[in-house]
Amino acid sequence: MKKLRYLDYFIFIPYIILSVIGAVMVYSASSEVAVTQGKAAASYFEKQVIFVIIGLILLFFTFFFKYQMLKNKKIVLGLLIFIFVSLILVFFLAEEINGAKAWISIGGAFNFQPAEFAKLVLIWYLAFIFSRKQQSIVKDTLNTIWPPMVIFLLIAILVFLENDVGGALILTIIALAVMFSSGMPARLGVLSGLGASTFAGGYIYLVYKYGTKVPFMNETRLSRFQAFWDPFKTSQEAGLQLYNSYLALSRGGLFGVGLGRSVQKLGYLPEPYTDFIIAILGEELGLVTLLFVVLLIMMLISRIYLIGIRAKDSFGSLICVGVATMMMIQTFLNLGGVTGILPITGVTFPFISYGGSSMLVLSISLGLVLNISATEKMNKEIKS
Amino acid sequence: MKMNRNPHKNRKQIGMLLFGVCIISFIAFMARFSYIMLVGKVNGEVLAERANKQYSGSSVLSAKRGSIFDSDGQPVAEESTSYSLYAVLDEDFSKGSEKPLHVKDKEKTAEALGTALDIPKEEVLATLNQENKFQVEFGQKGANLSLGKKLEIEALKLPGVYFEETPTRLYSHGVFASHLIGFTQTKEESTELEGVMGIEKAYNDLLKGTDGKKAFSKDKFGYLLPNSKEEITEPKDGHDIYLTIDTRIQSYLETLMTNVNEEYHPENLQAMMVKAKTGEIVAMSQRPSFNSATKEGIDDKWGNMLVEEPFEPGSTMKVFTIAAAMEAGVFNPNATYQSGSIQVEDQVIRDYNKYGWGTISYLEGFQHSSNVAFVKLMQQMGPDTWLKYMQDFGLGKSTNSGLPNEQIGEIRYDYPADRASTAFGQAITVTPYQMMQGFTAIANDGKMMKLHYIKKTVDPNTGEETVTEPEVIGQPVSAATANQDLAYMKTVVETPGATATPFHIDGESVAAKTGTAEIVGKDGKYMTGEFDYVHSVVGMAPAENPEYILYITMRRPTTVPPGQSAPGILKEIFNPVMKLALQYSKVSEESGTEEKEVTMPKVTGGAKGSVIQQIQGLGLDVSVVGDGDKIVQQLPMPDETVLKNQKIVLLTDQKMTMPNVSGWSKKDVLKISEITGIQFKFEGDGYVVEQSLPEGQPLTGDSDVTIRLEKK
Repeated sequence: MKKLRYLDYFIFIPYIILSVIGAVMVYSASSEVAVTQGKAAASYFEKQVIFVIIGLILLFFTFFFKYQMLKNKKIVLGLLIFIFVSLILVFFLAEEINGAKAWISIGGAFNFQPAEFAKLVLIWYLAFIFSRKQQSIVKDTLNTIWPPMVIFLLIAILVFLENDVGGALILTIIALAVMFSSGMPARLGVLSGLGASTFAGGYIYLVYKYGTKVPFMNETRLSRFQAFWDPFKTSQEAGLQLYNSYLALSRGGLFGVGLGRSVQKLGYLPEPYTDFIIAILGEELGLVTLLFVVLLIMMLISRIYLIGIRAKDSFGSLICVGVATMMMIQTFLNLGGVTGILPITGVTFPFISYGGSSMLVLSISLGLVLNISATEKMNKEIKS
Repeated sequence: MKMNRNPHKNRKQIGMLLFGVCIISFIAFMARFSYIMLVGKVNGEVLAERANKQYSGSSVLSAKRGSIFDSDGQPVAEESTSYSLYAVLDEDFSKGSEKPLHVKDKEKTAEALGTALDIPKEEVLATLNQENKFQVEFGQKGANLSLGKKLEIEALKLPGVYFEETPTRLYSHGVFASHLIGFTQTKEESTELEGVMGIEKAYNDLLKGTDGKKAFSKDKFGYLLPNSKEEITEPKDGHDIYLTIDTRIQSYLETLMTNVNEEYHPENLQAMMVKAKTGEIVAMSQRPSFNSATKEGIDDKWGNMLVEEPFEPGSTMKVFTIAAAMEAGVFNPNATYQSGSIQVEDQVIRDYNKYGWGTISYLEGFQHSSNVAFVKLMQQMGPDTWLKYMQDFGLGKSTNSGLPNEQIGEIRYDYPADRASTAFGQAITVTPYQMMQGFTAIANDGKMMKLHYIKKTVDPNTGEETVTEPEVIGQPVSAATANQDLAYMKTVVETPGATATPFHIDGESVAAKTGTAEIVGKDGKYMTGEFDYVHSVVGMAPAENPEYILYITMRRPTTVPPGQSAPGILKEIFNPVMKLALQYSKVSEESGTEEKEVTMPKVTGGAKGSVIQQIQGLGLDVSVVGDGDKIVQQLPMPDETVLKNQKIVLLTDQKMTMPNVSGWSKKDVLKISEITGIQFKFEGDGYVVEQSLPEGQPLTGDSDVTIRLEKK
C-alpha cells in the first residue's frame, strides 16, 4: 500500500473525470437508441458503469503488480500467444457488426474484441524486446528491429483482415512510435516520420485524383474520403455521419442545448454513443465542456509522454510512449472524424465512448503507466 | 551522418517530438471545434439552417369536399371514406413489440380473410405466401371496403392486417341528373378528389376547400421532438352546394326517360324542367346517361348534351317567331295566306306535309306548324328585325351557365333561304339550355330569367350562405305579347287537329308547341326517313300563369311500333312529369306559414312505442302505417327539417294498414303514398274529410283508395 502514495494524480484524476463524463454521456446518447431497439433506456449506461468499475479494479491490479514481473518473459510470450489465438478465433466465432468481424461474444452479454487487446499486447511485447536489446539497437539497428517488426506485421495483417482498417492503422503507428523510441538514432526516426507523412499525404492526394484506381482503395473506402471532402453533397449517404456531426456541434454553441436535449441523437447522427459521442457531448454541453474534455485527455496523454521521457528504465519508458501514442492516435482519429479533418475510421474516443474492451484495455494501460511512474518515483527516492 | 549512440538520449528526443506533436495537434483540434461551434459554418454552409431544414416536418390536413344537396337538402353527392386492406408479412415489423404486428398464422388469416372478402382461401394464401414482400394487398375485392366491412374484419383480431383510408365520393341516387352533377376522380399521386364533369368540375374550387397544414419539428423517425410546438393551419372545408333540383320530379323524369329510351331507342333524348318565375332548374336529364355510383354507361356519352351539343331545334322556334311578329306588329291571327309552299330566291320551302291546308289563317298556320306562314311573317318583319329578336331571346349567345364546355350554337344568316329557315328553327343551331332560357320570357310576362341550378352555397366554416336570387336578364317582348303567345300555344293543345293535342292533361291548362326538326345527314342533305328528325315539345303550365316549363327533345327514335307517333312518344314523358310537378306546386301552396322547425331524428330500427313517444316529445304529429312493432321506414328522412304542423309517417314491419287521415293535408297523405308505394285518388282541394278505406284495414294496392278533400 506504500505504492499508493506514489500514485500519479495528473493521470488518475483526469482518468476518473473522463470516465464519469463518459458514463453520463453514454446514458444520454444511448437511451433513445436503446428504447428503439426494445431495450431498457439505461441498458447501455448500466453496462458502461460496470466497465468503468471493472476497469478501475484492473487499473489497481496492474498498478500494484510487481514491476519486475511485468518484464517476465513467460508472461509476455503468453500474452502474445493468447492474442494470436484470439485474433485467429475471431474468423471462426465472430458475428459481423457494421461490416467488421471483430467481436467474440462471451456468455452472450459481453463482447470481447481481440484487436483492442492486441494494441496493449503489442506495446508490451515491443517494449519488452527493445528494452532487452538496448545495446545492439544502436549498433546494429536493422538486424535488431526486423524480427519484432515481423511479429507486429502479422498482428496488423490479422486485424486488417477483420476489416478493421482503423485498428490496423493504430497498431502501425504504435509500432512505429515504439520502434523509433527504442533507442535507435533519433534522426532516423525523424526522417522516417517525415517520409511516412509525405507518403500518406501523397497517397491521399492520389486517391483524390484517381479514386479507386489507387491500390488498396475500394468503393466503400473511397466513399469515406468523398464524404470527408464534401459531406454536404452526400449528406444522405456517405457523408451522413460527418454532416450530422457538424449539425450537432453547431447546435451546441458555447454552452450546449442542455444535458439530454440533443436532437441529433434521435436517429439523425448514427453511432451517437460510440464513434460520435463527442459530437453529442458538444451539442448537449457546449464548447466549454468539450474543450475541458479535450484538455483533460491532452493532459493525460502528454503526462504519459513526460513519464516516458523521464523514465530511467527503458522498458517503462517504451510502455509509456506506446500507451500515450495509442491514446493519442485514437483520440486524433476520433476527433478528426468528428470535425472533418480526417476521414471517418470508426475509432472511439478513449474513456468517453461506450465500449467494454476499449475501457478495459485503457484502464490496464493506465495501470501499467501508473505502476511505472510510481516505481520510478520510488527508485528515485531510494537513490537520493 | 553522425548518429547519437546513446539509446536513452535518442528515446528522449523522439519522446519530446511526440509530446510536441501531441500538444500542437490538440490545440489544432480545439481551434477546429471552436470554429465549428461558434461560427457555425463549414465549407460556407450555414449549419443552423441545415439543421432546421432537417427537423422541419409537415403533414397535410385534408379539407373535406363539400356535399351536393337537392332542393330539399337531401344529399346527392357527399364525401365518404372507403378502406383498402393490406397485410404486413415482414417479421421484422413485430420487432420490439409484445404482440405480433405481422401475419403470423397464414393459414388462419387466409381462412378468415377469404370468408370476409369473398375470395377463395387458396388465393389469399398464395398472396400471403409471397416471398420477400413487406406487405401485400388483395386486389379489387380488398379495396373500396365500407366502414362496416372494416369493423367486421377488425373484430376478427387478425395480427398483421391493416386498412388504408381513401376518400371517395358517394352518389346515392345512381342515374340522377348525372351529367349535370358530374363526378370526381382521385387525383394522380394523391388521395384528393377532383371533379372531372358537370358541377363537380365547374365548382371544383368551391367544393374542394383548402387543405390545412401541420408543421412541426421531428426526429429522424418523424416523431414530434420533445419541447417543440406544432404549427397548425386549419383546413378550410369545401362549400356545400344546394341544387334547385327537386329529387321527386328528377327521379320520376329519370324513370320515364329510361322507359322511353328502352322502348323506342332514340339516338338521344333530352329533357329539362324549369320554374318559370325564377329560372330554377327543377329537373334535367339526358339519354345516354350513366350511373353516378357505379359509372356504368359513362363511356356512352361524356358531355352534358343540354349545354354542350347545339342542334337545329325546328318548330319550337315558332314560339319565338310568333312573339317577335306580334311585337313587330305584323301578326294578324285572322289574316289568311296560301299554305303549302313558298319560293325564296332559288329555293322552295314547303310545309311539313308538302301540300299544306289550302288558304288558312295565320293562327291556323301556327296550330298546324306551317313553315310557309312563318317565312311570310319573317319576311314581313324583315331579316334584321328577326335577327335582333333571336338575339334578344338569347340565341347565338352564351347563357353563362357556368357548366363545362358550354356551346353557343350558330345562326346561319348569309343566304335568303337560310334566313327564312331560321324562322321555323332550321339553319340555326342552339342548345336546349338556350331555348329554355328564351322560353322563360314567354312564360314570365316577357321577362327572360337566368337559368340556375344552384339554390345556395353554404360555407361550412362560417355558416355563411350565398343564395342565388332570380335574375331577369332581358325583356325581349312585352308582357302582353308573351301572354298572347301563351294563349296561342294553348290553342295548339286544345284545338282538334293541331299538332300539340297529345299534350293535353285533364284538369290542367297547358300551352305547348311541338317541333320536328330535319337532320343533316352524312351526305350534307336533310334526311328523309319517317323518324329521322329531332322531335321536340315545349310546354308551359298552367297556361294562364305558367309555373313550369318542360322541354323535351328526342333524336331519331329507331324502334317505333306502327301507329305510334313522335308526339305520342314524347307525351309518355311530358304528361306525367308536368302533372306531378303541378300537383306538388299546388300542395306546397296549401301548406301554411312556417312555424317552429325541428330536425327529424333517425327512428328506423326502433320499437314502435318508444319511437312514437320520442316524436311526440318533439311536438310532432305522428301516424303509423302497419301493425308491426319495429319501425322500418320513416318520412321525413333523418336530419331533414320538419315544421311542427307536419305529419310524421312511420312504416312498421309486417302488414301495412291504413291510418286515419281525417283532417290531413294532401301533402301529408302523399307521404303515405311515398312510403308505401300505394297511390291514392284525390277528389277536391283542402283537407281530408273522407277516406274510402277505413282505418286499420290492410293497404294492398289492389283496389283504389279515394281521398276526398274539402277547403276549410
